[in-house]
Amino acid sequence: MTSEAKIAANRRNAQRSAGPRTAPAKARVRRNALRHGLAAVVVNDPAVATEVGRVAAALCDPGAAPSDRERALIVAEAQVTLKRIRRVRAEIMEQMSPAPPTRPPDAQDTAPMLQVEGNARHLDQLLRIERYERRALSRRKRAVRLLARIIHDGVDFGR
Amino acid sequence: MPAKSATNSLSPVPPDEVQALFGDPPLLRGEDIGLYNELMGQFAKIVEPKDMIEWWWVKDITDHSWEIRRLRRFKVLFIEFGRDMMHLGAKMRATVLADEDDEYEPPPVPDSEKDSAQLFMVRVGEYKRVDMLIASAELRRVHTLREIERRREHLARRLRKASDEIIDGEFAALPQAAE
Repeated sequence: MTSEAKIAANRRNAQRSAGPRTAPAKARVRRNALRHGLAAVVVNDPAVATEVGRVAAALCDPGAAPSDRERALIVAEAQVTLKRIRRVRAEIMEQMSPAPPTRPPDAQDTAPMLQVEGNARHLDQLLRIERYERRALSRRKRAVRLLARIIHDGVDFGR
Repeated sequence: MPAKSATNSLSPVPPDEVQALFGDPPLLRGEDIGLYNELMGQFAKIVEPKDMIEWWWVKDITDHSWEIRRLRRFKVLFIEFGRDMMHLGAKMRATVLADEDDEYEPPPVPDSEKDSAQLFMVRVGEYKRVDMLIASAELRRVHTLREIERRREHLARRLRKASDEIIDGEFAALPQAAE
């Protein structure tokens, strides 16, 4: 249990700190909690927003009703998120590749265990990103159903 | 970089504008991009995608099937890798001990069923996690098939069969992941 004195000291110290003041410092701390960015709103990233725009344009005519364009944007956003998730997944799997043993000969019994711990960490990361893919798929599914009318009207890509 | 191989020119390929939006396939080093494209071509042949959304479904089914197969292969490779590590450790120890003792005999390669079971015990936690990932990928595949089913019922059945064959290894062009 934290003492009253300690709590008061923490509050005093917190009052003295106003966090980052300069623009670069603020930009830096913005990314403090960012791990893979898969839960972030993708259109905040200009490069991703451009890609979302390209995908939406492929789905929906520029002259379409605003509501249809909005649905196309939701589908596009979900699709771009799915692409990012699959890339992140592949990157994590790449890290699971067996590393060459570097331990001395008398410690060989523990080497497989170390590898197991490394793999377990990567597997946990893979499990954590599953929910983002499920969420993006579900979002895309709902938006696609709403878009069905446009699709049936035929944005034709040939075959 | 994924490896390259000749692709089957008879399989339908996504139009350029669709391919541009797909980007690079999510492959690992050593995985064959030609096989991946051929797999997608086989699915595309069944689906005959008519628009962008249907091409996404083809890509989803390809990605999910590839991933399930890759993860199943990983389970085997975990044991194989553990065996390699054990063997390498024994060899390194033998090198040291052989210098000290001329009559030292290096241990045999740990390739018995008992060795595999021992390695499995060490890696059972990983196995559980991989099984969870496989279950999740299978669920995603089922959901994609259901989406296709909504639009074209008989097609989803054919696609399910083709995907099952690929995952169970009955497809001629097997994606040998992580080899």
